[in-house]
Amino acid sequence: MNQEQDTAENREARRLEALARLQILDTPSEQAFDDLTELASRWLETPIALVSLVDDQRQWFKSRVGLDADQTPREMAFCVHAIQARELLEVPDATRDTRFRDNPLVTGDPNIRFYAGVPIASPEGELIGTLCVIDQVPRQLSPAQQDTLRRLARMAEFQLRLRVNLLDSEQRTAELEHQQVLNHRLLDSLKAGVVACDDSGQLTLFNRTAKQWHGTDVMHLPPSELGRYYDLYQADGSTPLASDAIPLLRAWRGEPVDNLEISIAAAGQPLRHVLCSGGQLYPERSGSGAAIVVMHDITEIRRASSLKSHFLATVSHELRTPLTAISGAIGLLRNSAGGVPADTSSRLLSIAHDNSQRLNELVNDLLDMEKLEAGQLDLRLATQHLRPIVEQALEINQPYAGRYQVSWALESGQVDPLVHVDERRLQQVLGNYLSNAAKFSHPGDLIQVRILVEGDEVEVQVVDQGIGIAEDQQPLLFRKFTQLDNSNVRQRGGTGLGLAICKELIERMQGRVGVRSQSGAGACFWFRLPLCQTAA
Amino acid sequence: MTGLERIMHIEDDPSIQEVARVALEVVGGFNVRSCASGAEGVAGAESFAPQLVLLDVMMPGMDGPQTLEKLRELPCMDGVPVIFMTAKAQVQEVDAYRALGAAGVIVKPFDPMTLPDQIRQIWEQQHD
Repeated sequence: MNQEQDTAENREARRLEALARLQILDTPSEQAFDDLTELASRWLETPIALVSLVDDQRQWFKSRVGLDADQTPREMAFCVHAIQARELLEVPDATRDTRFRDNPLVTGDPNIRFYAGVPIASPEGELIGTLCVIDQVPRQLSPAQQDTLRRLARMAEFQLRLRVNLLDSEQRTAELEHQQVLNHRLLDSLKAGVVACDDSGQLTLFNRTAKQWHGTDVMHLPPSELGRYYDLYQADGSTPLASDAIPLLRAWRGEPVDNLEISIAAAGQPLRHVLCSGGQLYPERSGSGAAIVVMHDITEIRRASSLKSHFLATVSHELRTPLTAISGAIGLLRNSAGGVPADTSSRLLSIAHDNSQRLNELVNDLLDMEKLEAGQLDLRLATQHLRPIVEQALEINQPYAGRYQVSWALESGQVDPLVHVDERRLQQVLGNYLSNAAKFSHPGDLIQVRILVEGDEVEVQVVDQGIGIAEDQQPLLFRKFTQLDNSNVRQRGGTGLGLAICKELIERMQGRVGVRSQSGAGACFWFRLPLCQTAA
Repeated sequence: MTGLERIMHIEDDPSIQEVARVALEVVGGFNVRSCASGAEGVAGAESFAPQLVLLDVMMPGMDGPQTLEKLRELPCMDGVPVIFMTAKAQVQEVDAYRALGAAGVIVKPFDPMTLPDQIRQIWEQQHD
């Protein structure tokens, strides 16, 4: 392959690429091109005028006057010669031109005799076709007519450039629309609330999370209606937020909005604490202007922090209570050895002793909870009979029954299922259930302990006839760090961790815990464990 | 002025109740009525006619402030000083108790040997 041929091939490849980039082949007719062929036909007085585009295997007519066919094979195309000539090609009589006289378009329909075509360049300068006129009789263009044809061809090129610009603009618009859809999807998928306004302060963005938090789409509501859906408060959750303190308005005014906490109370939703950050979109401008604010929900963090404070207050109170008793009892014994009657001294010693134990239990509870939370509490699981464990728990906790003047009875019939448990930890759970039942029973009450097999599970129940638990308080009972304030259910002398520890322990043994109760009608604390078929 | 003799102590924890009772009776020589809850205190106030009430703050059911409110509704409690006993005794908490009408605040753990004097001092301030 010589260099000249290679160059010609490359040129043709570039030309075809330029034509393809125009995306014009096989497109519907367009008025601008049709006007050009119509004018060419009229001004040059030829029956046929074409805007012909020369493709790899064919020439295709973007616009045509006086011709039915919309394309012909490339080898028949006069226009190929015009492109090769790179300037106006005029064939006065095709029958006398050796290049064309045997051309089927000359020997047959449409019987071309005269042809004049001016190459049309793409915006990159590649000659991709022609504007040509054709007659069925021999003739010749005057210089003025040649000039007309050249000018019309330039107009065709101009149309092509317009077309490219339009295509680019359409593509950019499509890309922008795509980007916009993407942005909206992205904004809507964020767990943060995002709101924005334009230079006039009008809302322009209120993403899905923001709508959800406000219980409505603020964009489509007049300001007078907003109060129906939500109220805004300061960080304390109770002081109403002045309308000029709304974070987006502050950002719009050019004030810094940096980790500003507010609360949103939307109808039917719990109070939500959000942290707002934002500012003007174009801070370099002076005065008020378009702004954006991003909000993060910190309700859980606030709740956790408040729970922690509550827990610390509870723990310190619960630790100080036995400490007060111990130090008080010892203080009395130490300082008034002669003045305190013997039976009182003995009682004070018991108080000091009992409260030391109580302190120890509290510390153990705290450590257990800490270990459970850190996943560091190892259970010694073994497959064993349940009934002896329950019987032993009743015996160990007998002092509780004595102290509160209650009695307990085991109802299990002949049932003695196998379970896969840590015996010591199961004793701890039973001890917690039994001591709670004793504390909240009336003197003389009978506490029933039941072992019931149901399906592939066994349920152990501790049923008291005590003061019961209101239904709305029941879900809180097994929650960590929660101590119910209601006197009927408060776990006296505990950290509020006892039942939470029971729940964690039983769940670690693949079981479940729960309570059935009505206020004033006793309570049934239960746990369920999966049954084992055989001993290990 | 009649001296301080009758003290009602409202405290849900039986150990603390007992320690305080011994301190007030044996060390202080007072006549003490111990109550295990706010409700019990309110119910017994009229018959016992306390000259001073020692009131725990954190109690199940009616807490200290709620009990104080109920006690204040009783004619027999008119002018009777109420002292809160609590482990929660930071400055703002003490201020809050005083704002509720507490004559004083005794911090837990308390010294049983000086408890009677502390109470007498508050009583005397009230009757100056």
